[in-house]
Amino acid sequence: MSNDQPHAANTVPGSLVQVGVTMKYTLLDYLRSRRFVIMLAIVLIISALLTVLVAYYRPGSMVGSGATTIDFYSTWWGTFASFLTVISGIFFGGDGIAAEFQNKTGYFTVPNPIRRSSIYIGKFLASFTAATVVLVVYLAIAVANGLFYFGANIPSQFGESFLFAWFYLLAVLGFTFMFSSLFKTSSYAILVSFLLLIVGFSLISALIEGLTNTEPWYILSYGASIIMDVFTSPYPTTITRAGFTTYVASIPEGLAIMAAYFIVSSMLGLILFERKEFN
Amino acid sequence: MIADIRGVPRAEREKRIADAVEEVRMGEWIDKRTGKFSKGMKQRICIASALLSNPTILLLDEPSTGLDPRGMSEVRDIVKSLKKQDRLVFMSSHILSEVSEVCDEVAMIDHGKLLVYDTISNVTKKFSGSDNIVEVGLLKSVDPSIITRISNLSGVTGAESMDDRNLRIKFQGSQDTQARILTDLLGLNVPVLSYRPAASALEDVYLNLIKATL
Repeated sequence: MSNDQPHAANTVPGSLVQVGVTMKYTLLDYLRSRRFVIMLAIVLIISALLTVLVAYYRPGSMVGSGATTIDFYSTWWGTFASFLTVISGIFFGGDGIAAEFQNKTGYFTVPNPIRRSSIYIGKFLASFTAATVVLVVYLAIAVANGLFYFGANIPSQFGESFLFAWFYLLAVLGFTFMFSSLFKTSSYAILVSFLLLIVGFSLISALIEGLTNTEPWYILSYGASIIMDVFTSPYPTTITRAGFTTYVASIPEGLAIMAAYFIVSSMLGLILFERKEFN
Repeated sequence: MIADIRGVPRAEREKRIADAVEEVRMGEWIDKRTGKFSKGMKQRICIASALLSNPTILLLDEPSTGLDPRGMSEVRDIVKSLKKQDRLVFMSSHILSEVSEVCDEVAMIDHGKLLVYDTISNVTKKFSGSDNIVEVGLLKSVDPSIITRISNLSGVTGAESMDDRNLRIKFQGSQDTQARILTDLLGLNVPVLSYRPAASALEDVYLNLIKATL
């Protein structure tokens, strides 16, 4: 270091700026990573397959003469959006924090004058942005196909469904980040999040509904069902047939469940990360 | 990223990074990913990141803990070189031999209470009796009669064999006395391989000081 000409004293940026710095470099890391390419490739392959199959078979329920734009978008977007949201959330959030411990990269960041909350929020926002890019690519291809078959007649339910999926992404990432803070190994965080979000919640939800006949209002995937349900007009309601009740989350209820998951799991994840020692 | 976090001005960033990396002797690794680095190298990178803001005071919390002997030696060398750069370096360590080797002054703290703060030589002089201690590494073992003759050298208050190849000499006096004793040893044809202040002197001081608090 040139000590003959001392540098001007540095001013350490505020926490908000450091959130931005962490987000910028984490996002750059994601965009250059193999996982981002894989995720994009999955979305592009699925979209390409859908495009070809719909163009070739022209399914009546989607693009037939009696089909509406709502039918088209609910099939194209509604059936896959939740799954895609979960997968991309896990892909980008699973090792958000755990990798700092596993790859020991935390040794380079944590000793610096930066709050752990800034690191956590920066990484969260980077994961959210990367996963959003994936969702938007899928959405753009859906819209392109919709424009081809139906012109510029995009139903408002499609926009609502996208916003719900985006909100669901926040909850999924909050949940995934919590496990990422809990474990020091990325694969554990990814595996546990995957099993719970893809299999566990659906199983628990079905069991609770079937065995106790009560509303599974505390299950995230139950709240996320609004992504698909919003395409149904009029909006479906809870019905009881032959003593068996099929519960349907209303839109406010679905949003509240997702918000609760996002807030509680994010805060828990942050507390865990704040307390975790590097050793 | 670290430069951004530490608020290093954009115009100075590249030069400061290159300087800091060079200062911890990691220049040839500057384009490599850190994942495969040894613990010692990672520790050097951490020190480099602290140097980015060109601090006049550095706080190093047990910088060599958990490192293998090579890593410890690397980090010790870096700390020694940082001292030469007109910086005040505070280093905490439980390895007192390392403190003897690297530091000029020492503060001993027990249960949050400052027991002593002074130069290493003053501390060892004050608290391990009035004797200084040197350890002598030998090329081959020496006859016990030689050890008796060493004990009788001027200024020497005692000499003992630690094992076949190491002697421990207690003496009273300054560094000049220490240098003269070395000349006397050579005069006695003692096969001296190494000659240095005893690393354990500081440990003795520490143990004496904390006795009261136990």
